[in-house]
Amino acid sequence: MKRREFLQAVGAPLLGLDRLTARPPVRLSVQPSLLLPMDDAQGNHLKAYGVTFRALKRGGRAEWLLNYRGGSFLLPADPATERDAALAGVTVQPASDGDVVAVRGEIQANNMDAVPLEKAPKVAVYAPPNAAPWDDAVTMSLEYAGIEYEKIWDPEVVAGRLKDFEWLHLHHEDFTGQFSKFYLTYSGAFWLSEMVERNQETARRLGLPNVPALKKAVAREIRGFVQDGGFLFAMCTATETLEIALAAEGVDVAAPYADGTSMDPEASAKLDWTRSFAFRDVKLEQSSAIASFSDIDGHQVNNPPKRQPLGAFTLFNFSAKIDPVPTMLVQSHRQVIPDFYGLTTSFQRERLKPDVTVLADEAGAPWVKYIHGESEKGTWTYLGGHDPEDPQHQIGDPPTDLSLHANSPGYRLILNNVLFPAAKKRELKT
Amino acid sequence: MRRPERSNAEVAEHAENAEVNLVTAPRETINRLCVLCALCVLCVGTSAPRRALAQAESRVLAEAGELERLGRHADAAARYRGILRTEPTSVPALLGLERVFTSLERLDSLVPLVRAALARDALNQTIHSLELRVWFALGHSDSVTAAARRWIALAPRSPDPYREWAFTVAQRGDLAGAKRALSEGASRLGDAALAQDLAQLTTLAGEWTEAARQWVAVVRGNAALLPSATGSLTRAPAVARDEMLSALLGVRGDSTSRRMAADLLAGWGRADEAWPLLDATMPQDPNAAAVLLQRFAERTVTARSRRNALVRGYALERLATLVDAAAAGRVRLQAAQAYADAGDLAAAQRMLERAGAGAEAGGAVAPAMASLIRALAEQGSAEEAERRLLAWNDRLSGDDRETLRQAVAWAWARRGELDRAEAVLAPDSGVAAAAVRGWIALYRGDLGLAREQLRAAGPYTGSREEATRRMSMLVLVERIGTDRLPEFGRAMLALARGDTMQALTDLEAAARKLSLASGRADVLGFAGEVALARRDYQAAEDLLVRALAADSVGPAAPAAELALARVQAETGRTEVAIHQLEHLILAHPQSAMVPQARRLRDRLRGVVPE
Repeated sequence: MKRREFLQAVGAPLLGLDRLTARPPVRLSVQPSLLLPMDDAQGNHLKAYGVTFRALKRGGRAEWLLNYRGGSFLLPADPATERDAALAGVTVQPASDGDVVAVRGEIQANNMDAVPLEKAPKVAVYAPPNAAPWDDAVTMSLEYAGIEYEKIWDPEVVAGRLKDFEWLHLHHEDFTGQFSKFYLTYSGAFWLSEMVERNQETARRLGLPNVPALKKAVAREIRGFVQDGGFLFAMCTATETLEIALAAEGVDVAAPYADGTSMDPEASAKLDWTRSFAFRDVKLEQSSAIASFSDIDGHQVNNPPKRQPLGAFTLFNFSAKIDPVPTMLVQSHRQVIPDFYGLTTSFQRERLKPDVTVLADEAGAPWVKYIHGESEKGTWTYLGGHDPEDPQHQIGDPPTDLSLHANSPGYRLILNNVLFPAAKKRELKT
Repeated sequence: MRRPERSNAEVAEHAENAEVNLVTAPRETINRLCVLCALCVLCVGTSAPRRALAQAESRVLAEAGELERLGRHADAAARYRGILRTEPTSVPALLGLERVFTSLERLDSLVPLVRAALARDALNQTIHSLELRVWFALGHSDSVTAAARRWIALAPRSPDPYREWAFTVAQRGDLAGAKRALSEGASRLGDAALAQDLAQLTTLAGEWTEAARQWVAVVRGNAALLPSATGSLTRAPAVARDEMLSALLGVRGDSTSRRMAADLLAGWGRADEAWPLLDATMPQDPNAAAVLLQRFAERTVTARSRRNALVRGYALERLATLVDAAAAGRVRLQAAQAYADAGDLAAAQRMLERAGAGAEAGGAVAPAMASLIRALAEQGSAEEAERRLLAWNDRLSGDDRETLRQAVAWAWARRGELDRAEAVLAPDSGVAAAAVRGWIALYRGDLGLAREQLRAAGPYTGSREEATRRMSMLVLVERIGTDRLPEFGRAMLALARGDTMQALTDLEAAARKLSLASGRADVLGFAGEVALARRDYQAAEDLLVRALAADSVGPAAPAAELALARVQAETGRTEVAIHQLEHLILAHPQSAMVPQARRLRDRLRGVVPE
């Protein structure tokens, strides 16, 4: 369901209601319910999202109890859900009507809220058709949690298929078309040659002069997707390079090895940040020999003179009743999460647009970790870093086994984003 | 270059006209003037000794250093500038100004001073390096290049300009630029001049294959740098190593590159691959050969596998022929230990004999002898192991005596000589000995005594693997409702000897003698797991199905279901296996097998990596 449909669905009922009182709760049914606690009592946090998602897929309804016991879920106690939870190792607690009343009372009296979840979103992951030599934390979490998704790539995006989905994920992609500057360290690697060839062939097939032009076209489609009401979640390189690609319409921001021409020496001054979502006044990295795109990234992991050590980031608290969307996005059983590198690890605070909502940052640091915003009818969320449970991931490293990280607070942030489009949303007040 | 002589008036006038950075109280001005006056006094007369000037400069430098330490950078700058007025090429003053101007964010003020210094001392390497650093810090990359080129023009045969230029741009992360600078130098001065710099740079850049080639060139020029070279290259990630080795071994007939490859392989724990390379390129010179062999032995001291231990033995044995007699004895003992660890008892024995490790040999031989006894016991030479143990009993450490008694007892037990095994353990009352006695009782079919001894041994003695085996066996034996079951004992002894077929036959015989209530299902389930471990999937499935038919709800059922699911998965029936696992999870939610079942289910469904 697109965001505008959410607002249409819930806007009218809210008129005339005092914002400070809770809405009448959505009564799932008269049958008992199942509480999926999401605090330390939960045996498998990540699969709990999957159990909830599949309950919605079966046509059921659920509630997300924001800030209640780590952001718990309330589901109908039907045999299919119970079986699913048992097989997945998800801890459930039967909740009678009396139990539910007590829960709602606690929610009403505290900074908590109960958000109905109505429909499982249609999820797309933007990824090349072949296997890449690195992991995608989002696809891993979707697979592990058992959440259906579809892979789409440049031909599908350019052909307009994004409108078939409600949620889109981007991860590694370099939307500036410079292959993440992997030439600097992996020149000669077979997988890089293969990636370059594949992208160049795709550009040719779609009638585009080169890969940077192809990726800009894709970036434009993604912006259109968001502005039409879609939900975008991006991590790692995709965050920074998507923004640059959007702002660089008509500007050459790619190295010669990408498009045959040098980067415009005045590129930084020519970028149009009204076209991007999150950042502004960014200074691009002019040297093609430096493994960095711009000064958006605070950690600059592959730029030795500027590389910053990892710390930990803290999730912000929001008013669950007034700001349900950011509250949903930060649901976790841990407030402080160890940081993790990516080609883009963090976002310099001074590069953020003023209307960006910061969801998490590192105390005392000039960068933030997790941000969210709106663009016309849709929303976007960016999380810096590559893999929450692999802080210093290198290409060729073995993939993360999420069964060993079933309670990962970092991965919960990813899955919060997957589930949040399922929510009915009230008017936002940031 | 001599400083031009100055008259007193000229010095005083210069001092008065000098640019002064006064940011503190007039007191500082007075201090400065005092300094200048001190300098003036010292300059009086054309016959003022240079030594006095040098002493004055030292004093001022010391003052400036103290001011820096106190954070009074502006005052320190004034001191340094004062020195430069009389000694424009004073390197300590220039370097001091670099520090304080950086703190004051006035580094651009250093540029004319550096240029003035170079005008007087055009070949001073330190000042040239300083100029590069200053331009770099100011962000003027073109000026860095220009400064480097000026230096090159002044010292066309020196590698220093290229080296410093590369280092400066590398600091900015421009490794490609640094490489270009070094390559330019190499093209003009020859490969050898900057080979080590290029090698270090390519290593830093993670260009491992190219780095390996560069380091070969370095080591060809100076063999003593082999440890540095391989020390840098050892850090290469596993994905890069094969290509590095191909590059090294692809150069025909080059002993340097092969020795480097051997050293790298040894450092990567692949000593068995390293040895043939090293052996084939051993230098004729005995001293050089001894150095390489010693290094190989050091690199392989943590060798874990038998193959690695064996080649370590080869290297040590050869090394013993190249060193003096006193060292040879020690080396042969190390070789004996390595051979024993590798299971080559004959070679271990040979080394001990040549090391003079007879009956009268002392405590230095004891560790090697302990390894030999252990190896003899593991290989089943129980008599020989026991004989040597008795002969060396007083010379071994207490821990070695205890563990070797257990090893010898195991050797007897595996041969079925259970009485002799118990006799060896007689002096021992510890929990480790109780563990061995528990197994011996098991082999006799005395399940009552086995339970008692295995419980006494507890869950902690021995390795983790041994402890797990022991506890698992105790759990099984606890469920068998009889104190004597010879068939079960025979089955366990057959398993210890590796005769799985006989073990399965005896286990089935044991199960037939048990009722449903006294552990038939448990024994059948165990037999099924034995068959599964042997990859006899048909037998395993038959036994496990019978175990579940005997008892599908008792404590043995989850383990049998899990094993059955593994059989189904191994025989390609993935969906059947998933269904089996789901049944296990839902029917036995409290079972300790459930986490394993969930993980296997996830793996079969492809949601976690293999």
